[in-house]
Amino acid sequence: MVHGDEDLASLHFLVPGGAGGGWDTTARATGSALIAAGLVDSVSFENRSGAGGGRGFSTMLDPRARTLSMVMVSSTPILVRSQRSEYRQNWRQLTPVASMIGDYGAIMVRADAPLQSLAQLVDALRADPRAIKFAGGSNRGDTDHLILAAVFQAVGLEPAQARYVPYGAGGQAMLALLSGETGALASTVGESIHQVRAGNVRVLAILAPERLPELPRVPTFTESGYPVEFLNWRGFFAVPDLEAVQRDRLIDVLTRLRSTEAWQAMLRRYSWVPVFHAGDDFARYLDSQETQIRALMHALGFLG
Amino acid sequence: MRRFLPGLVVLTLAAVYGWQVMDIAILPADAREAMSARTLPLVLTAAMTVIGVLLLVTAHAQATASSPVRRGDGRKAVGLLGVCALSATLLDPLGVPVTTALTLAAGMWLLGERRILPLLAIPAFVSVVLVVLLLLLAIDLPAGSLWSKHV
Amino acid sequence: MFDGFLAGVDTAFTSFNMLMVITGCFAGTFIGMLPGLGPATAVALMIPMTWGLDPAAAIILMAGVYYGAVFGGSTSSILINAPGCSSTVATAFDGYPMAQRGAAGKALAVAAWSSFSGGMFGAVGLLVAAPLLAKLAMTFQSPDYALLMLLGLTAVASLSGHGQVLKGYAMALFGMMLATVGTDGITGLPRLTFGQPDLVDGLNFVLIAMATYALAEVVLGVLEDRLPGDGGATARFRDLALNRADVRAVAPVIARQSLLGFLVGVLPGAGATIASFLAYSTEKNLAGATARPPFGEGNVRGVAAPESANNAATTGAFVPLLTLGIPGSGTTAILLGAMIAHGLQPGPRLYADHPEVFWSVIVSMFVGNLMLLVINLPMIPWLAKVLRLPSHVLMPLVVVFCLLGVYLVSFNPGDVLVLVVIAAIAVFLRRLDFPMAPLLLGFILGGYLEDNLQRAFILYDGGLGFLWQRPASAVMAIATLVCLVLPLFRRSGITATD
Repeated sequence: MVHGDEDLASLHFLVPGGAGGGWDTTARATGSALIAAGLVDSVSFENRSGAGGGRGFSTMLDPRARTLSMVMVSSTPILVRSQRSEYRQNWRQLTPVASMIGDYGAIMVRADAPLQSLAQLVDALRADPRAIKFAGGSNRGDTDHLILAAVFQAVGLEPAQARYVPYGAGGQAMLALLSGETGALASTVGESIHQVRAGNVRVLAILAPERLPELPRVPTFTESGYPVEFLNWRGFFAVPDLEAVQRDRLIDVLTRLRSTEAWQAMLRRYSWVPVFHAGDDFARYLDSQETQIRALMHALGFLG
Repeated sequence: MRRFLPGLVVLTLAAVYGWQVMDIAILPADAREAMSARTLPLVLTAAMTVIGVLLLVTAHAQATASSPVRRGDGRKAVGLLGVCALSATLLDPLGVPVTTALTLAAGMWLLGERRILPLLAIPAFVSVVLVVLLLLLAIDLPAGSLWSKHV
Repeated sequence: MFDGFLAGVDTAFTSFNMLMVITGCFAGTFIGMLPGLGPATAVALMIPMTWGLDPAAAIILMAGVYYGAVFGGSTSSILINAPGCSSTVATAFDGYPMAQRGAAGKALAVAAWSSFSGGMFGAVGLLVAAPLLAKLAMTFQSPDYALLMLLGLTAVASLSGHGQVLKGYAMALFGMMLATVGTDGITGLPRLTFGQPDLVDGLNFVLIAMATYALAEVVLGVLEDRLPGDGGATARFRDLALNRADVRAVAPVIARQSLLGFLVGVLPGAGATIASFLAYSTEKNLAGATARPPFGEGNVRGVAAPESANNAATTGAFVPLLTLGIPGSGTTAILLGAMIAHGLQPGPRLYADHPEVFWSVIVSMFVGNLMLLVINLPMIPWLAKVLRLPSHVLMPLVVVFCLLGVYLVSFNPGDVLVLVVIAAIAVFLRRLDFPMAPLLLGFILGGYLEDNLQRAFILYDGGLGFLWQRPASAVMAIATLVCLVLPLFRRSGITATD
């Protein structure tokens, strides 16, 4: 059991990736909003890239390196990683604190594509599941591939039949869609929002519980009769076996941050959608998402 | 013997690599695709083997082209690599500034500097300049675990 | 369009934005010279400092930092054989031998003039043809990239010395083998990592270049008792003035390679590093065996080619970024993120909604490149003084530069150990007369080749259909075959007449 009775004067953000990336931006935005709102006296940041996020993870597990005021930023891929026995790192080893923002999965086509609606896409795929190639910005078996697999499963097709073309980054997957290299794109709303606003890309449907304020005319899969959701959350984990008092302090600070103008300004700046789950609620959410991800990875053949 | 060494080295590389390639997992998901995670590595192993054999076959022609071998101090060279490896292991406990100074001093000593003043002053100077530069750029250096307070 | 351009000129030439260009270029050059801090880090470091600025000033500042860092990276390549960033690795091939010969000042001056010209050429290209070039970038697809990488690999022969071609191919294969280490895009699992978590992300290109060139060079110097740097090579101001013969040798190279570099930079799947290698090897091929001094032993054209290409490519990368909103590299991805955070939407809308930003960034590049030249030329004699240090101080400094250069990228001591292991292997291979440049080429192209080939096969349902369905692929496939087969005929021709 890790003990601590110092109050939350300072917070140390551990970023398991490089400067300028998504995790880094989330951590630094949260940190500077906490300072601006006067909720914490000082924040510090540490980039520990390497081993696909594994180095940051091992720092959290290392009794000599971790501190009570340390939180690691993470996101949905940590659950994907936890399924693979090769890594020997599971999110359950850490103390889940809260998710702050989230980005819902979406299926997109070019604005001038012949496919105009979700119904047309489903018809085309039912006629031949291999007819449409989907670009994605993650490795096979990772988030964007899982979004596509979830869609296939929801419309009653075999996920393994999906033609998923992996690109090194979201931007390259978007280019593949725009240049006509692939017919469709499986990604998240936030990754693609500026191309949607520019009118280059049409979102056919989103994997969200309800429509988004940003895209009022885009239907959800659920309302179209295919109940499926996929969320890429970003949030924070604390060191293992954290005492309840300290964990509640962290949760309390992040909960209060949500209603501050500083945080609202960050959400606007980055077009982020707030998705807040804290403490046990966050852990339960992770549990259910883990079940979904395991099933999809099995269906795709990525778990032996 | 020496003229066959390049070919043998290439064949050894191919063998070690090829042996590792056999450990690459092939998942059920790969069965449907034209390329698995092993495809390119296997092609590389095969090509490397062919080149190794060609190097052995043409060994007599290649030997004439190679330059004369100069003799130097092997122990110093190994020592220098040792210093580098040692400083890698010191980075976590001691932190960047101290490790930089120690590595620099050790390297200078190894290459023949024996005067105390330069051995102390130059590493200290370089290390201070480095810290100032990184502070100016607002790059957080992880402090050495020896000097920081932890759980 | 012309109104937008004039608005851009107006915006760019406000005194505050001029100050931003100068600050950006200065900071970029400086950060680029430091070990391990390349353009991506430089731009990321600037983001928090731009929050108070208006969007145009912020982007002008960050763009200046970006091409400033590419500019500054060549200094350490030339002086101590340790590249500051991946796009200046090829600059070391001839820049370092020139420095060793006592011509460090000239090498740095050629690099500065080539970078300047490449950047200027790129800015002109961006100004007149950005929307048109964006269409070109869109027509290039995964199969074409795969074949471009194959074509690039045929440069191995030209990167190897006389009688080294077989060894060169062996090293290119070795480089590709090193590129396969780490998480692969096919299963998403780590492969060939020998169970080491530090290898899961794969090896870093700057690490490989530091190991095989800078660190291996120092160790070899000790081993063979020929420490470089003892020559007391230095530069005086007059070394900076290129003589007429130099200008005549370098000018056509800069013109050709700026064009090549710019076009490669426009492709979102290639980038400045590939551009610099292609420029170096095509120039070496064009020069042939008659070049004096030979390429690899300190030919000015071998410095001019990669330096003009990498800066032109850096500017070229702004084409897909500004016109399509597509980042072609890690650095432009960070820039894109910063632009969005500033409320700009790169892409066709940027052109329409914020013409003053679009044009002012381009206009500022002309000023920026001029500034870089003005800042850098007077610094050269001071920088070159580093070489006057006695070798028992300079060589340990180079070693420390390498260690920090690797450590400051990831803050991972494990990477430093990997550096030492690869340097030891490189020393052994170099003793056996294996050339190292093909290893670097194989390493860069190998990863791209596998990713693009995998996509090509998925897109064409496991077949080779792209070879005849895509004209660009077909042309490059034929060119690859010609490059492979032609030297065989040429050689047998020589032996026949001998």
